[in-house]
Amino acid sequence: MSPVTDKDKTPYSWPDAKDRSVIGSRVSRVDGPSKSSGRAKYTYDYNPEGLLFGLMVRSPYAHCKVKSVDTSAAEKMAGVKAVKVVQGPGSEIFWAGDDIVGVAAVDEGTAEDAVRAIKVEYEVLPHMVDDWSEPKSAQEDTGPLSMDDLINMFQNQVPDEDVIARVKRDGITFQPAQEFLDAAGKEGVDKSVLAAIRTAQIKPAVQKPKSPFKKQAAKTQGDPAAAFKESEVVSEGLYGVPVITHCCLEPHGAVAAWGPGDHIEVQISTQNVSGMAGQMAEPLGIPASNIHMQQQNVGGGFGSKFSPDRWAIVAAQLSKQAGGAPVKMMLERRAELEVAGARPSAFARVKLGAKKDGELLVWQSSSWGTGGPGGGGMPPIPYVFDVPNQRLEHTSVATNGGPARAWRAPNHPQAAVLTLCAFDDMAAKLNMDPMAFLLKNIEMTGPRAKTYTEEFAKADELMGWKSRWHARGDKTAGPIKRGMGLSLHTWGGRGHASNCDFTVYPDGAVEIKMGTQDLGTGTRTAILMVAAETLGIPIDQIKLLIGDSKYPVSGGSGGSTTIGGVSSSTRRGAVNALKQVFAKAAPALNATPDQLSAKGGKVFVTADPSRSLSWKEACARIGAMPITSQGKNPNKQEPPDLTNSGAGGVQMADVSVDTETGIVTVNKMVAVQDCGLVINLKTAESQCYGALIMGISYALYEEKVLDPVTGRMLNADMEHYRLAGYGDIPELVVHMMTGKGYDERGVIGLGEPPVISPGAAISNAVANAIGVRVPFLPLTPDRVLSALHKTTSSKGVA
Amino acid sequence: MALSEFQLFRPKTIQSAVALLAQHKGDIQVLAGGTDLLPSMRQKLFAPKYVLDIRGVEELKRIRVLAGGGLEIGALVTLSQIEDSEFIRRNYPVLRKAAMTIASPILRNMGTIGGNICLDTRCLWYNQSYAWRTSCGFCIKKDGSLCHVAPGGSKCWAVFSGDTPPALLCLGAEIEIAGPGGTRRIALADLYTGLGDTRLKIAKDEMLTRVFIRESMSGYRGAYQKLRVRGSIDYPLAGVAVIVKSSGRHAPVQDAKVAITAVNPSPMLVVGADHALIGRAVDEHIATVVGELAARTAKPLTTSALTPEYRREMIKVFAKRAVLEAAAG
Ligand SMILES: Cc1cc2nc3c(=O)[nH]c(=O)nc-3n(C[C@H](O)[C@H](O)[C@H](O)COP(=O)(O)OP(=O)(O)OC[C@H]3O[C@@H](n4cnc5c(N)ncnc54)[C@H](O)[C@@H]3O)c2cc1C
Repeated sequence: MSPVTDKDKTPYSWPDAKDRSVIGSRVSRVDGPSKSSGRAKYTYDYNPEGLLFGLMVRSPYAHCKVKSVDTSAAEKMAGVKAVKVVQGPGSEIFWAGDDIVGVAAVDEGTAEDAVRAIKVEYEVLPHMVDDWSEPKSAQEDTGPLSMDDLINMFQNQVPDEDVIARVKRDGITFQPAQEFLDAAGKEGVDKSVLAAIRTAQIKPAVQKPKSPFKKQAAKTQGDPAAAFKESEVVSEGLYGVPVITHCCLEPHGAVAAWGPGDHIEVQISTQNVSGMAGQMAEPLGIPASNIHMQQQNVGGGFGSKFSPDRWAIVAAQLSKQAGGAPVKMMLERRAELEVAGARPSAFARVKLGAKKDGELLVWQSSSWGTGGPGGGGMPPIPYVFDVPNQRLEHTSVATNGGPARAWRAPNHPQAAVLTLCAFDDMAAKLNMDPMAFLLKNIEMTGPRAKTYTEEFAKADELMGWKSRWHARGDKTAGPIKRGMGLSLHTWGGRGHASNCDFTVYPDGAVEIKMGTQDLGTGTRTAILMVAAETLGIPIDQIKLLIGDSKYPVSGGSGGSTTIGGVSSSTRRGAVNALKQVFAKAAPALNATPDQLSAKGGKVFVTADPSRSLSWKEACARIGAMPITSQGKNPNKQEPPDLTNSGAGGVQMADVSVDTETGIVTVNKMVAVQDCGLVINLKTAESQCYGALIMGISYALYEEKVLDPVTGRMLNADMEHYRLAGYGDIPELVVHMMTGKGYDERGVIGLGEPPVISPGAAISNAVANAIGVRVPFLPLTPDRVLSALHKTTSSKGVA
Repeated sequence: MALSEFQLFRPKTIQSAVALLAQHKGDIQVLAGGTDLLPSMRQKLFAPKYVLDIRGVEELKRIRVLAGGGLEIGALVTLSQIEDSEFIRRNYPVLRKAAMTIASPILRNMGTIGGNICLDTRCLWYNQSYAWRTSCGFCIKKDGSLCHVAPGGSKCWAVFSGDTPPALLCLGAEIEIAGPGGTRRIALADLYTGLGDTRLKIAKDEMLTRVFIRESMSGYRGAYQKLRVRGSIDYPLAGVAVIVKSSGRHAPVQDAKVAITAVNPSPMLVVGADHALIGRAVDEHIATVVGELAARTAKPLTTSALTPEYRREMIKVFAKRAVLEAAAG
């Protein structure tokens, strides 16, 4: 670590660039060899003695009521050890694939036979799975108006004439009290509207048909009407992103064993090792302290693995019924795709107004989307750019399509598509290079304006943007058209709460314990790098223990908060440990502890490095008992913050489109990304590579296709739910912004930001190539062709 | 998804294989590479009591140039072997080009030409798990009487999605079928029923043993064009094989054949395509005419990814491209 001599300086800071030998370098993942050789154990690989196979009876209908459940035949079957009704008679089911009955049996085949032997009667109810059609009429659009309906209309800024016409036509359901009218008047409701309400016919309230559509309060900023009048160019367009699934390669699930004294052992595929027990305690009716969670490796979560889910709870219950035998309940591929994760959809009609020189004046959008049965909120649009004049309205659509879960940068990829594609269309209408258009308005991005400007310059250099860019529509001969598009994004990413324990043994061995998890992002390696840098010893002299709920609590890996949290707690814990080592070693070096440094496996006098002890010799002075220390992030008592919030990135895509077939091929992608101080340059770059590949998948292939007739997902397998393979991955160029202006900000998360832009960048590149916008992702060949032929967009299964 | 229980036989000769087929007629299923059969068995599309693993029959693993000319390909020859065969590359390029587009290298190491020819037909409503199919009331092809693709119809439209058969049809391949009474030899074109459910004209106690290609079919230039959404591992959503014989790039075509796959319940030769091509130098116009003919032969329905209209359009585009590619050699 850098010398702790400066009395004004808090001991908790990142070393200066000149003092860093590990942080910021490229270090291969420490768990790389075990993963690539297949030795790494995932939850799925955990097969303890006497393991039972758990399986669920799942609802075949998208909307139904359970009428009766008969498990008697299954219970009598040889090899069936436990049966647990999860949602019994009377339960209303809102999506296909939901859990009805859990079984545990000696093997998979027997469990499948048991599932088939369970008789469930359902009352089938009407379902709705269409979220992409423009919402027709919300609940308040029919029949006499209730007070709530009127308030909704006011909030939605429905024009006065329309409110008056509705009140006159349909009447109202309540006696309008003076207080209500006064309050409405104060909120700015026009007198003519109040008069209409006062004189309205009062009609009995009618049971309105339940509508899947719910309007949310409209939002206005500035004066959009005036801004449109002032605009010299107006651009309008339709954009959308469907529901996609997480499609974790390792499905969700757990192995649970109910032991003596109501202690349970759980191996679980999770992003949230420390946060699991608390969520399982109540449903299981035992104290959280009785629940022991472990996980060494996870095969993908992307935001969908924060909860134990019903599966882990039922696994534990089945184990209890089966006398404590461990039960493995992991989702089959189909269930993984149908029920274990869905990213909400978002669609919008967007209208923009600008000056001829590119100055953007106004944004107006009417958006809709679903997150499943609970409806879906509005993504953060307009994204990144705080357009001075805005009018936004949004309709939430409730569908029987399975519940939404956080998906890597929740709502941002959708917002990027709705915003950056609309901006790109405006730039095309202005006959401007979209990069010039964004830079013209870059001050609207607020504090990140400088970062974006620098990143665009870098991306331009890596893509050859300015020299290669052409106006919309590649005019070269032949069916293959080439184009480029771009996008930008932001994310928070401040480190979460994280604690760790350090133990330094008299023989120099170091051990770190932390209740965190490595999602495959390289968390283990990053922790070790920070500890190694701080203690001045090599990574392989440090033992790191994570993935166990018995270790000090560390946050769930969501919101890109892990790297900030664990690097900060590790740095603090290591500094605290080192202080104690210095205190013990100082006398031997004829120095005071604050005169010492540690580097290159040595503890030495900063001013005279010739006076030194090896790390081992220094630790030998500790005495018989090891040293322990703790690291804690955040620690309000001992500032400063080693982590920060607010990352920015820009991306560019170069694509070819076959205009005879509609097939899109990505030729190259460039990602330029900032995340403050980079701990491991190699895994940071890897994070961006992975995000680009995931982005290509959702831009070109991914969509949860629900059949309107049966309400079931048609492509719940990896043949039809396509992910990009090697043959689909183009040249990827990643550049991390580091050095002055970036490093001093501290550590900022990176898991999510780089996956936000690919959809918009690729869609824009396609528009640039073929001259027209393909409104909805994924950019399947039939959609590309129908956009080219200006036919109505077809929703073909892809 | 678990495999149901079955008894496995591993015969070493064609005779013993056929005897087992005859003995357990109807309850037994042939397993070659298993890349198609095993996933289907997990989905309970097949639940045979007996499985006949024929991979012990060594004589069916060979590619053999016949003394009198022509080629014999054993049913157990893998797609990788075809890809690697210099003889096939030189003499029957269309077959190699088609084989190379199948699945992935690993699956081509396992998958056999026999399995590719006898590949089960596919449909969005069929290649699903048992529980899923239950919820949709099953379908004509398996366990039910409905068709979700052509509601009200009684014909099964599940699509044949093998890549090599259109190439083999162009080459006029014949196949050898072994049964209890010995072997018989038929044109490959006569193997298929044209229906998604019955699919093959092969008796329950018979199996495919060899494929033959005549020497006279060697030296044709060939092309195989396959519509796929993804660059990695994708079944064809439409496929067109073309062979052309001529004395040079711009010389008039002496002979030609065009066949399509993945748009009908069977692979099909495009009738009239040879007449359109023979005697003329191939150009954009003729290629387009062939595309139109091919599209007329194609009857895609909503059995798979992408809309039927789109896939029919694509048959035109891919047929045109395949003709131009084959002519250019
Ligand atoms: C992910 C994936 C992608 C795929 N992509 C493609 C693709 O792009 N193109 C393509 O064409 N195929 C594809 N396939 C299907 C398959 O891999 C190939 O078609 C392969 O050639 C099948 O051969 P097999 O030996 O594995 O067949 P098997 O699975 O062993 O058999 C297939 C069927 O043929 C029958 N059969 C096999 N041999 C004989 C015989 N000698 N006599 C009588 N009946 C027989 C079996 O009973 C079974 O019904 C894909 C499969 C997977 C899993």
